[in-house]
Amino acid sequence: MNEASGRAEDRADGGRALTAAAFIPGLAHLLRGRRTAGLSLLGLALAMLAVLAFSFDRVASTFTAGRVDYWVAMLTLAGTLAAAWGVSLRGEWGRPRQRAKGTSQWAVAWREFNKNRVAVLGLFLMFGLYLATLLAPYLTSYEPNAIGDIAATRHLPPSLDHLMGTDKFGRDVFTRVLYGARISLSIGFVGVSISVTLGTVVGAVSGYFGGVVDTLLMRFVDMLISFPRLVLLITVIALFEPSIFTVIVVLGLTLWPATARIVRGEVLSLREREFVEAARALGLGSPRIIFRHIVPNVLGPVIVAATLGLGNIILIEAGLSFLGLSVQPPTPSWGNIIDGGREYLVQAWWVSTFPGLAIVVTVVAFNLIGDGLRDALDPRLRI
Amino acid sequence: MAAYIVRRLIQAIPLLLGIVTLVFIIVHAAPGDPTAMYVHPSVSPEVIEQMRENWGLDRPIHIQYLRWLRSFLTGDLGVSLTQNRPIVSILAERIPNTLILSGTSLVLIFAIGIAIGIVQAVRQHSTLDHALTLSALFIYSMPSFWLGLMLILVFAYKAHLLDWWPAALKFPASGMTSVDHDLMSGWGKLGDRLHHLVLPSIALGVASAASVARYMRSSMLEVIRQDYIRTARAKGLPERTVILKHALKNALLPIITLLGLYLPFLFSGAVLVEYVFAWPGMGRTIVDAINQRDYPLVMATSFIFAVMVVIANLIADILYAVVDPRIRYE
Repeated sequence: MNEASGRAEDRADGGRALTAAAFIPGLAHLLRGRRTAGLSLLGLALAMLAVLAFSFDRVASTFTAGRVDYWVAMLTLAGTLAAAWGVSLRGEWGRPRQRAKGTSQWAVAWREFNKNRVAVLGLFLMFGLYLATLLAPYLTSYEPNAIGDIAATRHLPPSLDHLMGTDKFGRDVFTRVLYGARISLSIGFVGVSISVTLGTVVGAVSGYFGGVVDTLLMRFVDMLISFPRLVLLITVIALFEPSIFTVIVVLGLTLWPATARIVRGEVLSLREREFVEAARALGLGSPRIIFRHIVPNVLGPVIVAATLGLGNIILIEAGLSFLGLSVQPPTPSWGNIIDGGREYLVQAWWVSTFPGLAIVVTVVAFNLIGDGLRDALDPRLRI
Repeated sequence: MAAYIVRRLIQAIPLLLGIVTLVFIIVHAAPGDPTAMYVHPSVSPEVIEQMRENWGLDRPIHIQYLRWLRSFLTGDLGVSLTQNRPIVSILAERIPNTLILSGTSLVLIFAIGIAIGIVQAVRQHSTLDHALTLSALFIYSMPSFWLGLMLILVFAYKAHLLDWWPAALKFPASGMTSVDHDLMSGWGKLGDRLHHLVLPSIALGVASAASVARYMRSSMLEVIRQDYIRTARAKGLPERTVILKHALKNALLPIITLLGLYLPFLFSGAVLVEYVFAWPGMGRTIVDAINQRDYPLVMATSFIFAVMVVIANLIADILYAVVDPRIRYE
């Protein structure tokens, strides 16, 4: 309420100037003293405009290229610009909404998370990475698999033309890293979604029912955990043909035990609580109690596990493609670019070095977010 | 105590049986059977049929399972398809090499991790603490195989180009021993082996060391706040004694449980690091076996990996029970 009345006052005196300022994304937020929000809106809009200005030809070629990823990039560009502008304008023009100042678990967690500057930095990094991935065709003027005049372009050191140099086939490494991010990030995302869903269901069922079900499931988890992850993965993948699909399915189906253990631990204490007893007294069925009453209460630790798992799964996928057991060349993935540069490490250090740095930055971002979420979602750390 | 150890040992038996079963299921869930790689126009179907019969693949599934179980229990892991010799003898050569590498890494992980954790806890909130936390975050997020490549690039190649760089810090890029290993004296041999161990064990270990440091820091901070530490300080003991004698012992307890947790992680890393450094261990064996489609060898190696993890967990549990008298054995 305070916020809303403050806004009304603003409108009375300097309101007009601020409204005008809102036409430049983020400026109104800046004038109001909301630095982070203002700067990120302004930065985002400027970055999009810069992409538009510097690679206008490529943006324009979207209409003639007839390729899906160009259209995706176009949509991303337009969408991001519109969103930055929209958020900026809505802050000024929109009806004085009651801001989400609630005391719900999620609102409190979000406020806590926002206080953690490094975690927010991680969030920005991740956002930037996904944006760069989507905008890939506009950010580089090379094609990831285009092999030009090998004699002239093979193993060129990093320069302004080739930010990360070229590889043994004369392909631009920066372009390949950018396109490789797609594979790494999407495999990570889908793999984690599968494994976290599976882990939550198994953990919740195991913890809720206890007894024989619990013993059986947990012994199975013990068995899976006894295999070193990578060994289990390569053993299973080796029996099938390595492809994106196999890798995603196998990652999803082998990495859930860790989540299952966490969820089970939480459910064991939750099922003794009064609200579960109340639900049982109401005559609700087990599936309904598990999914409507118990699972929402374990979402906190699950989200943390998923974020930290994303970093982990990206490392694992990189290892698999490094061994040639994931995405097959020429399709670039961070791991197989590093593997490609291994042979010529001494002559062309840049081929293997830069994709590795990309992995480090990505995993650091996810770990920062994960740590921030853990601190924000754990009420025990907050008194 | 003895009863506890025996009970833990007995608990491991169904786990091992389960692992054998799981490997069996994985093999049989895969499309095709082991004879598929021999199918060729020049090989008559009768020969393939004969092979299936020899390998018992024509038997009902439960008979196959029992035979599989029996062969694993008697230590017969089958014959490698590409090397044409018993898998047991191949692995007998490779297991020690993997243990040397992971063992060295493990020592490194705990030595470095514990030392850094103590420093961070003692100097909590100092610039040093923050700098170490930040670098730990980056090191923890590095892929081991990439770090290995970078170490090779810098210490096995670039360093050799510098005249002033001390020869002892110019490391070999791959293998376990130099070409002239056999001609060296006793101490020379040992030195040569250690020299070859440095880069791979660092590549394998630093990520875990960073995370041990993190656990050690928080464990130490918890202990330092306790009353008996205040008592020790009040007695006028020097800070060094308080930290290294009184606090360290209790702070180390939770770290021991990490031993069991890190081993599977370490073996995963070993697969990649052995591949990068051409280290003739189990990790390299399994990668080579996969590239050559030597499935029996792949299965046996992953089984042995799992057994090693189970044993390591057992050791960690028992160790924990030995050092922490508060654990109830019942």
